[in-house]
Amino acid sequence: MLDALASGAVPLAGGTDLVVGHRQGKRPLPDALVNLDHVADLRGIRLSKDSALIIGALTNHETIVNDERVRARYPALADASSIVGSVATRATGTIGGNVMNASPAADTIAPLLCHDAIAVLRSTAGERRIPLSELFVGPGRTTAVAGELLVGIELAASSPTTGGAYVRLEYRRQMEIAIVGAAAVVRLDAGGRVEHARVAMTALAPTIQRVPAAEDALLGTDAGDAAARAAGEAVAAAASPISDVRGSANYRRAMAAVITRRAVTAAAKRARGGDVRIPASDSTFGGHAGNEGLGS
Amino acid sequence: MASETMQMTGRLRADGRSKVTGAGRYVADLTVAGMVHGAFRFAGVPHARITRIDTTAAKSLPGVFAVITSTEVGTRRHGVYVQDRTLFARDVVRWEGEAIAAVAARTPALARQAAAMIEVDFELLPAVVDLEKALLSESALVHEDWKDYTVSGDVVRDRNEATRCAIVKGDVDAAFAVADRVVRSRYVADGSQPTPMEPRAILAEWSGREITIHSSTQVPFPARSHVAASLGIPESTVRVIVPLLGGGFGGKCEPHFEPHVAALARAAGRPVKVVFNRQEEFLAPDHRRERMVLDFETGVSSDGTLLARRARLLIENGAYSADEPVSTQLAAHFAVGPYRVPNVDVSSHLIYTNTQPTGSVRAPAAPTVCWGLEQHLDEVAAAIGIDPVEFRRRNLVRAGDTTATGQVFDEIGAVECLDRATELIGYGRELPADEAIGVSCAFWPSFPMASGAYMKLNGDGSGTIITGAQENGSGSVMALPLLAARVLGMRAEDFSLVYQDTSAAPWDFGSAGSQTIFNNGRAVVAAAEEIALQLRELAADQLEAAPEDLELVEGHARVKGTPARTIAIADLAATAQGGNLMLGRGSGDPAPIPESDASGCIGRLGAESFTAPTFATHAVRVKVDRDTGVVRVLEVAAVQESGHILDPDGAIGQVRGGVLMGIGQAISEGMVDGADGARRNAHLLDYKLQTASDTPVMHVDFVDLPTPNAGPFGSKGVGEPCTVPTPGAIANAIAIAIGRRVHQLPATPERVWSVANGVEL
Repeated sequence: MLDALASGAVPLAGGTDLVVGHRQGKRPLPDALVNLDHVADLRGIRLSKDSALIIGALTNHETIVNDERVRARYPALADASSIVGSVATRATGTIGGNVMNASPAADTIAPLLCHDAIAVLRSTAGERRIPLSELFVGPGRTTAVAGELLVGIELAASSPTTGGAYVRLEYRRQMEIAIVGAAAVVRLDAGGRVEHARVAMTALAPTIQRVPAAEDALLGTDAGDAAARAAGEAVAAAASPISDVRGSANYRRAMAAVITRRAVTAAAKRARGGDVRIPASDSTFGGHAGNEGLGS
Repeated sequence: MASETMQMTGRLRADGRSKVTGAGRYVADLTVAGMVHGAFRFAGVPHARITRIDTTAAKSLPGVFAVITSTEVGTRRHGVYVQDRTLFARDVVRWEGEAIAAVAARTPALARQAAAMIEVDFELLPAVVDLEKALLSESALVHEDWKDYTVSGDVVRDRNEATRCAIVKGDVDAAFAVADRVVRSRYVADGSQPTPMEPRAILAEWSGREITIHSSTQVPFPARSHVAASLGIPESTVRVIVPLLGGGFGGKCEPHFEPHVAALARAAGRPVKVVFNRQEEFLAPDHRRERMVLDFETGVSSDGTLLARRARLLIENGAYSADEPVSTQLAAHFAVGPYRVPNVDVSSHLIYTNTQPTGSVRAPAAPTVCWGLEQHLDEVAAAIGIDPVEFRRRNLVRAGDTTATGQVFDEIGAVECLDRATELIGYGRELPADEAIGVSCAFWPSFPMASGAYMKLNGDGSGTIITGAQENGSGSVMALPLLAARVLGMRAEDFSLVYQDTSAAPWDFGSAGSQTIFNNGRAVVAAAEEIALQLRELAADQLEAAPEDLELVEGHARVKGTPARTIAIADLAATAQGGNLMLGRGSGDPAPIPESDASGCIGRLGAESFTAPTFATHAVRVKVDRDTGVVRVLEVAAVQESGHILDPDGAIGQVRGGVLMGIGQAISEGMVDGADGARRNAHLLDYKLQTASDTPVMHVDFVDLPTPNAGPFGSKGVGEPCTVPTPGAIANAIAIAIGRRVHQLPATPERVWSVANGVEL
C-alpha cells in the first residue's frame, strides 16, 4: 500500500473532500486511489503507556464524538467532531482526512493544536513524528512529502483540571463550514489560576494556528470574563480574515473576538468541573429547536 | 390553553415508499437504447455582444455527435407576456446563464468538454444590475430593440421597464393631509432560489416525426406546446412524460429546455439526455425570486385606522420576461395587503437587468412584498403606540369589505387566522430578553383554470384515475384518490393514479399556483360523479329501486333508509366488466372570477381580483444573538384559511414546508450578485438552505371554512399562502428583539449584527 502511495496514488479515506472537491470542479480525481477502508490498524482510539491518546487516522468523527475518553479529557475535539458537516459526513469522514485536507476551515485542527498533537506519518522510508503545528503550510498544503501517509494523531495526556472547548460561528445547524472558529484549552492550578493555556483560531488565516498572545492573556488569570475578552481581542488582532460571500473581514474579525471569548469561557467552565454540553457551540447560543440552550 | 390543532391522519402517500427507499425513478435515472448525452454552453458574462461563435473544434472532437446554436434552431422569439427571448442567444447575451449552444456527445464529460471548446468572442457591454439606476434615462438598455417585441395582454413598457402595474383608489394626498401620522419605510430584498432537490433533466427521443420527451417539468402540457411552437411541429407529435419529479417550487414552471434538447436529439440523430449540475440549476433557469426595492407610505389615524397607502415597488425582471409580468400585477395587491385601506396609490415596476430572469416561485412576489409591508405596518403601529397585533385586528378585511380593485369579499377567515395564530404562540407572554414574537398576515388568490381527468372502475372493484395534473412533490396529486373515494363511498387506497403523460391524460396547467386540487380535484370529482351515476343505474336494476333512491356508502350501493338492500360496488364493477364498462370523464366549470372595478388599474393581466382568496397569519418566536447576529427561529404558529381542508396530511405538510422555506428566505437564503451581474454563491455551500435540524417547533392549524364559488367541497389553494407571511413575521420578531429594524432581506447574521450594534458594514 505504501508502495502504491510512493508511486503517486492518492489515499482515499471517507472521500468527503476528495469526491466532493472533484464534483465541484476544484480538482480532477486522481488516476490511482488507495482505498484505506480495510486497513483496520488505522482505525480506533487507544491510550499509550504514558497516557497519550492515539487516534487512528481512519477514525470517523462519529466514533470520536462517542468516545468517553475524548468527551471527558478532550472535549474540544468532541465539540469539533460533533459539528463537522452533517450526520452523513460524520459517519463517513475521518479525522485523518480532515487534517490532511489542510483546509483553513477544518474543524478538528484547532482543538488538536491546543492539545499539542503529534502527527504520525509513515512511508516506505519509515515513520516520522512531527508536531501538528509544523504540518500546515497553506490552504490544502502540508509538509508531508509524496508517499507519506498520516497514520495517526497523538494527543498529550490531559489532566482532570484541564478543560477545553471548540466554538464555531454557525449560520445554521448542519452542513456548516467554519466562517470563524476558535478552540481553547486551559489547565487550572489548585488556586483556580490558569497555569497552562492554548488558543487556536479557525478560518481566520491561511492556516489554522495557535495564537500565543491569546494564551499569554490567559496565563495566571482566573479565566473569567475579563481574561476571556482579552484572549478574544488577541485573536482578533492576530487574525488576517478575508472578505467573501460568507462575511466581510470586519465582521469576521469582530466574530473572532466573540467566538474566542465563548470558547475560553466554555473551556474554563469545563476545567472547573462544570457541565457544558457537546457541542459547545450549541450551549453558547441557541441550542436545538425545542431544546433551547443556556443563553449567551 | 389553546385547543388542539388539526392533526395528520398518518395516511401513506402512494409514491412515498419508492421515493424514500430510492426505488423511484427520476429523469436522470432513465436510459434508452442509443442514448447520448448533452451539455450546454452558457454565456459566462452578464452582458456582451457576440462577435464570433466557432464550433469547429468542438464538432471535430471524437465522440461528439452534434453542436447546435441559433443558426440551427432559428431566432423565433417567445415569452408568455413579452416575446423577448430566443432559444439560444444570437447577437447579444444578457445574463451569465444564457444558453449559446448545446452539444451532444458519447458521455456527459465529453459533452461538457466539447461545450467548453466552442469558441465565443464577446464585446463586453455595461451590465445593468441596480434596479433604481436601470430606470434612469442614461442607463444602458438591456434590450436595445424592446419596441420591436410583440406582447400579449396589457403590458405597459418603457425602456428597461418590462411592465408597470398600478392600483389607484380614492385620494391618497387628501387622506395623508388629515392623517394623524404618515409613516414612510424602505426595504431592500435580495433575490432567492427555488432550489429543488432534483436538478432538472430532460431526455428527448425522436421516432420518425414524433418525439417523446421525459422532462422534470412542473408543467407538461405547456412544455408540449412550447416544443411544438419552437420546432414548428404539430402538438399531436409531441409527447411529454414526467416520471417522479424531485421538487420544483416554481423553478420548473413554464417550459424551459425541452425544445433545446429536442433540437439537439434531432441534430444528433439519436436520443439525448441532459442532466443539470447544481451550479447550472442555480444559474440557467428563468425562474427564481426577485430582488426588490420597496417604498411604503401610510397615513393612519391615532385610533389605529388605516387611511391611505402609497407604495412603489421596484421588481427585478432579470434579462428576460418569464411569467413575471403577472407577478408584478399581483405584487401591487400585496402592497395593499389583506387590510381595509380606503385610499390607495400603488405601483409596481418590473425592471430588466443583466441578471438571471425571475419568474414564479411558490407564491410569486408575495413573500417579499409581504415582508416589506408587514414590517412597515409594525412601524406604523409603533408610531401611534398601538400593539401591532391589535392594529392588524382593527384593519384586517372581513366579509363584505370592498378591496382597492372593487372586489367584495364573501365569507373569509382573515381575522380568525390572526386570533388563532397569536393564541397558539402565546402572544404577550413574558420572554427572555433575547427572544421576541413577531406576527405577519397575508392573502393569496386561487387560480381557476380548465383541467381534466378520466376515471375507470376496474373489474376487481378498484378504480384508476388518469389525470392531467402533475405531482411536484407537494402531494396534491396523491390526494386525488381522497376526492374520488368521497364521491363513490370507497376507500382512497382503492384508487391508483396514472400521471403524467400528455398523450394519455386530458389537459391541465401543471403543478403551479396551488391549483391542482382546486381545479383537477374538480375534474376528478366530476369524473367520479359519472361513475357514481353508472353505479347507481346498474345497482338500481339489481336492487329493484330507483337510481335516485340509492346511495354509495362504505363500498356498497344501498337503498337510502334501507341498509339491508345493498350490493357491493366490487360486484357491480365485475358485472360491468362483462358488458357496459364503467368509465368517467371530468372537467367541470372553473370557479367564477369575482367582479372587480379595474378602472383604477393599469397593467391588467388577469389578476384584477382574487378568486377564492386564502388568508394566513404566522406568529414566530425567535432568539437573537446580539453578539453575532445569528437568529434562531424557535417556534412558529401558522394558521391558514384555505376554505374547507380536504386532506389534513397534505395541508399540514404543505404548511410545514412553506414555513421552513420562508425561514430560509428570511434569514439565510439570499443570492449574492456582484455589481457586475455575476453570481457569487451559485452553490449549496454558500447559498444556505435551512436544514432539518433548523426546523422549529411548529403549531399548524386551519380555519376550516367551506367556501362557495371555490374548489371541490368548498376548498381553496393551500401550497403557496403558507410561505407568504413567514419572512415578515421573522423580520418583525428580530426588530422587537434587538430594538432596531433590519431593512434588508435576508436578515443574515452579519446584517443583524451590524444593525444591533450600530456598526457600518
